[in-house]
Amino acid sequence: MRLFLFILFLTAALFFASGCNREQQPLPIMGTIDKDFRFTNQDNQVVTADTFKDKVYVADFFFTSCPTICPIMKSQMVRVYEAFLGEPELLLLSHSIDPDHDTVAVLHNFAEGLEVDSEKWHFVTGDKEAIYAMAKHYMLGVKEEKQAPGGYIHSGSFCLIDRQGGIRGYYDGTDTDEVDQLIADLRQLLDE
Amino acid sequence: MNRQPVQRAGGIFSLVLIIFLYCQPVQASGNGDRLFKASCAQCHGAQGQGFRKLYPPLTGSTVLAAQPSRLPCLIRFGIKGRFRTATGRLNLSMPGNPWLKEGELTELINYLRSRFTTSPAPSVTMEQVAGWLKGCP
Repeated sequence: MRLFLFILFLTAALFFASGCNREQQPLPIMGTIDKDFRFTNQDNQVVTADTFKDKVYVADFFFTSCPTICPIMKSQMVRVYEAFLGEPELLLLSHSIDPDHDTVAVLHNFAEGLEVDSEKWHFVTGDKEAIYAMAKHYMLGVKEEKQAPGGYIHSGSFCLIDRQGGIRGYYDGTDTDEVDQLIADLRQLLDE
Repeated sequence: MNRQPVQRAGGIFSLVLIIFLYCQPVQASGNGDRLFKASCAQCHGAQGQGFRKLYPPLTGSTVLAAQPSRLPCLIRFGIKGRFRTATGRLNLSMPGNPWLKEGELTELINYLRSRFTTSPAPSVTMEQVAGWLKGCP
């Protein structure tokens, strides 16, 4: 009996010890964002690839009049925003896929409605072709579709990009559990 | 045994039951909730609580409570520009729901008014909704 208890104790000790020493697995690298861009944010400031140089950031595509997935995406992105409010190395980048409607003024009102800091969360508009080209570069689907509610179909994914422009993950921006994972992965990436 | 009185009673009962069921008013019975979830909850929240200053709450809405005549146009065609809500003024747009038929609009409006107003709000009828829609800008 004593021998059995000793072996049980030893097994448990080894198990927990291996867990404590286990290193986190690095996030995979799924691609690279190395295409320059030039858009305008909600404060009428020019935003380029340089804005995100040496930063970790999360990118998505949306439009302000979207009646379906965008409201949920924005409420989930607000969770990311609030989790890293005091972290200067983390930025957010939301591209409008309806730049004709989503002018700087519209984006400004939208950002004000969300009560977020423009230095941290950029809502950008610009040339439509250039925005759609960036979506393709991020490997996120975006399409104008008159039959769809709001007139567009687009991916609800959030894309995580590291300091070197490496794509480190895609997360369903409408799913709380996946955004929980994004927040955990962001912490890991920012600690690297 | 004389079955005629029993059969007659059964027939009268069935007839009364059929008339009773046929004459029941159209209840939301889940359809109002379904329409709310499909058309409103994404932005205004499952509890009508709104979201920050972006999507105003439905709870406490003066338009819902006191201005039902504005609701059909607002819900079907959306809003653009400045709009006063319970939490302040907004300068945003709300997408419309042009696919909602008059019957659905009626059910949705009655559901919203019964769920999100504090004092009892009289039901609106489809005839009223049809009339208010004619006046949409």
